[in-house]
Amino acid sequence: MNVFTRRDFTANSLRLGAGLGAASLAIRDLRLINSAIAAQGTPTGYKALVCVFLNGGNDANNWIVPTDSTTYAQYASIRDNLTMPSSSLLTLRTTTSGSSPAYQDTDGHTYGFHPACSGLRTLFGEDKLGVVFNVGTIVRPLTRAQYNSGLAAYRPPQLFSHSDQVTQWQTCIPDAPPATGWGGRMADLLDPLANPGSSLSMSVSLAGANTFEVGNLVSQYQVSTTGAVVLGGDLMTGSSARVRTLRGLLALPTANLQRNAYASVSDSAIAVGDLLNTKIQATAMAADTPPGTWVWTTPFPNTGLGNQLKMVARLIQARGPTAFNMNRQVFFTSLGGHDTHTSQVSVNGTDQPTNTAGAHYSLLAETSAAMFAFQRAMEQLGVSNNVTAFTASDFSRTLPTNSQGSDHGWGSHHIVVGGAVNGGSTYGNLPIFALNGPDDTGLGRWIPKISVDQHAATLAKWFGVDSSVMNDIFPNLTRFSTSDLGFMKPA
Amino acid sequence: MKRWIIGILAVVGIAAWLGTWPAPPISASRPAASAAESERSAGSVGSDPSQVTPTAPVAAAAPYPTPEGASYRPITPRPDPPDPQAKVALEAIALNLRNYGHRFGGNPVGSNAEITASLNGQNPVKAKYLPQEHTHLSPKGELLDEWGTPYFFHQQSAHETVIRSAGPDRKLNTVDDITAK
Repeated sequence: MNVFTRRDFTANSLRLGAGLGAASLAIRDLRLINSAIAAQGTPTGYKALVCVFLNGGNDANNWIVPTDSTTYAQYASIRDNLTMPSSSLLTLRTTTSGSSPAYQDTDGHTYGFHPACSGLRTLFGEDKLGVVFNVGTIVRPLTRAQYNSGLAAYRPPQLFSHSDQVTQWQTCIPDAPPATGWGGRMADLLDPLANPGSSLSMSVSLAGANTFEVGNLVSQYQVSTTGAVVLGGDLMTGSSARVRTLRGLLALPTANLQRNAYASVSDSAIAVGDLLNTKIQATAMAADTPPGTWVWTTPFPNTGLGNQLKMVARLIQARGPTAFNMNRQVFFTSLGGHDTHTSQVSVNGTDQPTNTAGAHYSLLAETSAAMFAFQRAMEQLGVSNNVTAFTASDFSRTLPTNSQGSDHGWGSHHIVVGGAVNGGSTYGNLPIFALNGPDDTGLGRWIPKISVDQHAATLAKWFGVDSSVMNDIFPNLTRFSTSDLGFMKPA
Repeated sequence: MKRWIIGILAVVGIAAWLGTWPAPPISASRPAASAAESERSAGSVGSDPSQVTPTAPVAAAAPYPTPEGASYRPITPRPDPPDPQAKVALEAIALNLRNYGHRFGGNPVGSNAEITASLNGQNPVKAKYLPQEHTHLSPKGELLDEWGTPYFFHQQSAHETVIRSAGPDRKLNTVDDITAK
């Protein structure tokens, strides 16, 4: 006997309710996008944002180190075996001249970059690099006492967990389940206005799928360091017979909506992949495949991040109307390996913070060299003022050593690079280096004073997001005192 | 209709009583014994602890098979099997960590002491998740392994935490470490 019981009714009702809830959220998001697009002005000129995500949680405590004697002594006494010798640090100066005065912030601190970061130090002296202190995933401004209260209203969920913190950095909505990334939401808003005749997605990833570029309307397009991944085999590229046949089959009309969608995505992927690889051929260096004639005046290092940023540079070079016809682009790159619980500074079993073979040393060297070459490439292309690169990471790490490395922290320091950056300066405040001090949750994990929302909104404003729709992109932004940290020049 | 339901329940009850029903989930109060039994009884018949066949040491296992035609490549010997009691304790804690995660939508996070406090009642419903027989705390409130070294908790995601014991050498990230998640 087929009886529809009360229990069945309740269960089905709940399922139906959940489905309707999800659908209504999607519809609400689309309505928000449409109303935001209506309020958003049409951006002018070309601009690109490049995210360099340092996966695993970069130890920013050793990246940018205070060098004034009092603060350095506090740093060294807590860091113990992870301490960078003061003589090894690259002093941040007001110009690139070694005789110019050391940069000093409003708190009286002077700073040095990690010895692996000579390129970044140069960009700071050229006023093309800014440092933002103690940024993190906070739900609202909070004090140590509020953190210790344990109330969920003050703590983002799953603090100190890798994947959750990565997601929260990339959504900029730490206290809500992830749906879209802030790069994706910007693309949803700006793509129809800025890129009406484009032949490439506004969101391009060089590091696989990511949350940052997830949008409701614009799909992220993934490119490898050698170009678009296309169908393999003989006669499967361009307009050869096999690929023509395949695309003909994909174009056959069908009443099945799912089949239609699959065919559309597949056909588009084939077309865009071929177009992309054709258009970037002219940007290939002599040593690349296929051989080209282009030469970057500052060669990109042959590293994972170096090759990702080189491909970003090539895509930017091909941005014009004869190629991709882009006016706004968002790129995502990443470098993994920053989860340095062990062997952070150890080489051959002994602690050697200045040994270039050290794990953290190698990571910072790769980041510095790649971002320096990228900035020089942008200058070569004449778009230094139009392209801004910025770093992000899961979190920073504990200031105290665990004897082998450092553990998961919270607030972190980050850099912003480009001709449009109010560079040669630091933003925010260095945390007070005291265990259980006012900036510490305990264990040397800094309570962020700048939210990821503020950090991202400053970039978004420069990118062309109108102030009238900023809260649609960053719904928690109104909880914080300012939406513009000042590290970008006026658009 | 009601008699029919009562009949079904009676049959299920009798089946459970006779031991043919699947083992109940490991409770928070006695996770260690249950976890140990399940681990040791893998491949054995019946549930009588006296009939459990101890797990054979790894070193005594048959040589790794070499694919036909492939050249032999020596494999680094695996370390001695860890102390079963330590593994049992670790898995009991991991199990209760997961139980916490299921209840609160995510595992507890933070340092060892913070996670221990959460598991030990500092949570919204003041529930205790640590198995008493494996709860050895340091003066700092850190949960200690069977050799007295604080466990290391590595938070990968909301529902995945790797728990690491430093093992007999009391040094983390060495070959004798044991882990669970």
